[in-house]
Amino acid sequence: MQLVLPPNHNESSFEAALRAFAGVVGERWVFTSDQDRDTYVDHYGFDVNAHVASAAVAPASAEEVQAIVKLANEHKLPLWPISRGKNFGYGSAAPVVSGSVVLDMSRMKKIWMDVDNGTVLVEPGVGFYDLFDYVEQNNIPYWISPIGNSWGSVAGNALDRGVGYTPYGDHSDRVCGLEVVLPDGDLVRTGMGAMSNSEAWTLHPYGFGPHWDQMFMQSNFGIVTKLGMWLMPKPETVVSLDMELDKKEDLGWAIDTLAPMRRSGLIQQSPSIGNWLRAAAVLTKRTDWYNGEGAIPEDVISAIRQRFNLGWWSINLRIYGPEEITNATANVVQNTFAARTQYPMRRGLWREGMPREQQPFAGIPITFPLANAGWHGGRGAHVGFSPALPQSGDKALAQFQRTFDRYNEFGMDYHGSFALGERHITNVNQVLYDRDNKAMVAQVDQFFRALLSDASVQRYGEYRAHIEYMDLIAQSYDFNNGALWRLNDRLKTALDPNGIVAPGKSGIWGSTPRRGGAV
Amino acid sequence: MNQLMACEKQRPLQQFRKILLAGLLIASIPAHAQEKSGWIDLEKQDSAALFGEKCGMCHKAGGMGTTILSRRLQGEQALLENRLDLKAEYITAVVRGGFGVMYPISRGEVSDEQLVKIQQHLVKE
Repeated sequence: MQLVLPPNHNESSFEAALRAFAGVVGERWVFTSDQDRDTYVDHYGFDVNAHVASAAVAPASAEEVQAIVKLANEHKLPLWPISRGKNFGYGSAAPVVSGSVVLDMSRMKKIWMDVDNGTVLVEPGVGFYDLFDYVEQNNIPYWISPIGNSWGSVAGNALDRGVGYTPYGDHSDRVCGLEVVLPDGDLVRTGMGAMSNSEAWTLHPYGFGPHWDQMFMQSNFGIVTKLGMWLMPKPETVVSLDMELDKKEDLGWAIDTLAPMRRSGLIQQSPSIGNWLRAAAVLTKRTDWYNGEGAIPEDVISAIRQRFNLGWWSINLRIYGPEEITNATANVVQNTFAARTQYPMRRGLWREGMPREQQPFAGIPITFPLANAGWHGGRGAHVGFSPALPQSGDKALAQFQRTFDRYNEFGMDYHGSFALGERHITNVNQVLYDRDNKAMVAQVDQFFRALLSDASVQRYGEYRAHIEYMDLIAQSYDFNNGALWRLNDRLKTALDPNGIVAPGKSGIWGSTPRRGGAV
Repeated sequence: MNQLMACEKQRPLQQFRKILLAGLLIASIPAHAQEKSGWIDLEKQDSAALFGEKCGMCHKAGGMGTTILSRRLQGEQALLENRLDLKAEYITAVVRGGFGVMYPISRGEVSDEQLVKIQQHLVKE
C-alpha cells in the first residue's frame, strides 16, 4: 500500500513526526513500509483504499502512549489507536481518516489479577486466548467470557461493547475502572482508580462523582491503556438446552417464549437464535452446494439443513450454577417451551471433571466460526450489520423478513442471528462475500445501505458500526436535530482541540473536518 | 492473597528485575506511576510457546486456519506443526503477505525476531 500522507502534512513534516515517535519507542517500532501499511488495512473491507494508515507506531507502555500523544499534538498528526486490531467486519485495524498513524498497542500485554475477587486489569494487547491460557494454566477458578471469534483483545472488545455467551457476556457492563491517556497526554484513572493505590480499583466501579467508564467506549475521548474487568466464578454445572426450529416463522413465538425468562433473570446468559448458514459456512463451501446465480434457493437450504441436522433456526441456551438450581431452572425452561411447541429440546449436563464444551458458552475461546469467510472462496470477508430491536416476536419476525428479502434481492445468502439481552434483541447479520469477486463487492455497499435505511425507518439503530458507516449511523440517532451528536462534538473539541485521537470514530469529529464533507 | 498466583512461576531474571524496579520505585516517582505489584507480561519467549500465542488460535486443532486447510489438505497435514514441507521464506511470505482468507500479520503483532523463532519451530529440516 503506497503512502497516503496525513491531512495537512507533506513528506518532510510527516517524516519529522515519525522521527519524534521513534525517539519514544525506538526506530524498530515505527512501521513505514508499503508492506507494513498492508497489514493495517481493513482486511474485510470491500474498498481497502478508502481507509489507509500512513504508518504505525507500537508503544510498550502507557508512558510511551502519553509521550506519543503529546508529540502527535505538536506535529498535528491524527492517531488511530488499536488494541489488537481484530475488529473484523467493523473495520479491522484501519482508520476512518486515511493518513492517520495507527497506534498499535498489541505489544502491551500485561495483566494483573485479584484472584480472591475474580477481577483483572488488562492492557490492550491482552487477547482472549492470552487471558484464557493464563487463567487455565494457573488453575484460577474463574471462566473468561470469550466471543465468537476470540482472537481479539479483551479490552478492545469490551470498549466496542462486544458480547459473549456466558452470564458475563455483556462485556462493557463488566468493566470496572479504566486507565486512560487523554488527547493532551494527561493520564486519568476512573472509578476507585482515581484514588492512588486503592485496592478497590477493580471492585467498586463508581468511585466518587461522575462515572466516566462509558464515556471512553465507542468514543475518541481518550486512549484506554488499562481496563478492569470482572470474571465469572467457575460454575459447578452447566445445563445446555438446544432446539431446532423448522420454519422461518418460528422465530417470533420463540422470542416471545424466551423473553419473559430472560427478563425475570431465570436465563442469565444471552440465548442466541441463528440460522442454518452458521454451521454450513464453517464446514463447507458454497460451491459444495450450489453454483447458480443469486441467493441459495429453498430446496438447497433444505439439503443443507438435512445434512447437518439443523432447523431453519437453532436456539442455544445455557444455564449455570449448582446442580440443584440448574436442573430446576432447566425444567422450568423446558416446560415453558413444551407448552408452546412439539419440537424436542436437547438437554446436556456438564459437571466439574467432565470435558468442557469447546464453545464460548463454556468459557473456551474459538476462531473456527470465522472459517465462514471462506464460504464464497477467494479472499473471503464479511461486514457486520447489527441493529438493536425491541424484545418482541412480531417485531423480530418483521425485521427478519425485511432483511431476508433484501438478502434475496441482492443475491446474498442470509446469515443472521437474534441474541436476547435482558430487555432488547441484538440482530447480528453477517454479510459474507468474496473480495475477489468484483461484481459481488460492487453491490455490498448498496446492500448495506439498504439494510441501514430499512432499519432506520423502523427507528432501529446499530449497536456498533463499521468505520465506513459510522457517520451514517450517528446521523440516524437524530433526536432534536442530532443533539447527542452535537454533545459528542462539543466534548471532542474541548478535550482534543487538535483532533489527535481517532477523528471520525463513531461519527465524532470535533474540530476535524468531516470526511467527505458530510453534514 | 490479592497478588498473582503465578508469581512463583516467573523466571529468576524477571524476579530480579522486579526487585530492582521495586527499589527504583521507592526512590522518587510521580504519584500516577505508583503501581500495583504483580503485573505479569503474557508475551511468550520460546519458539513453541510463541507459535501457540501468535498462531495457535487459528492453527492449532479446531482453529479457523486448521478448519479451512482441512478442506483441501489430508488429515493431520492441516495442522502446521505436523507439516514437514514448510520453508522459512514461505512462512514469511504468508505471514506478511496473507494467503486466501488469512490476512497479513503486522510487525506490531509479531515482530521480525518473533517470526524467526516461529519459523524455527515450524521448519523441520
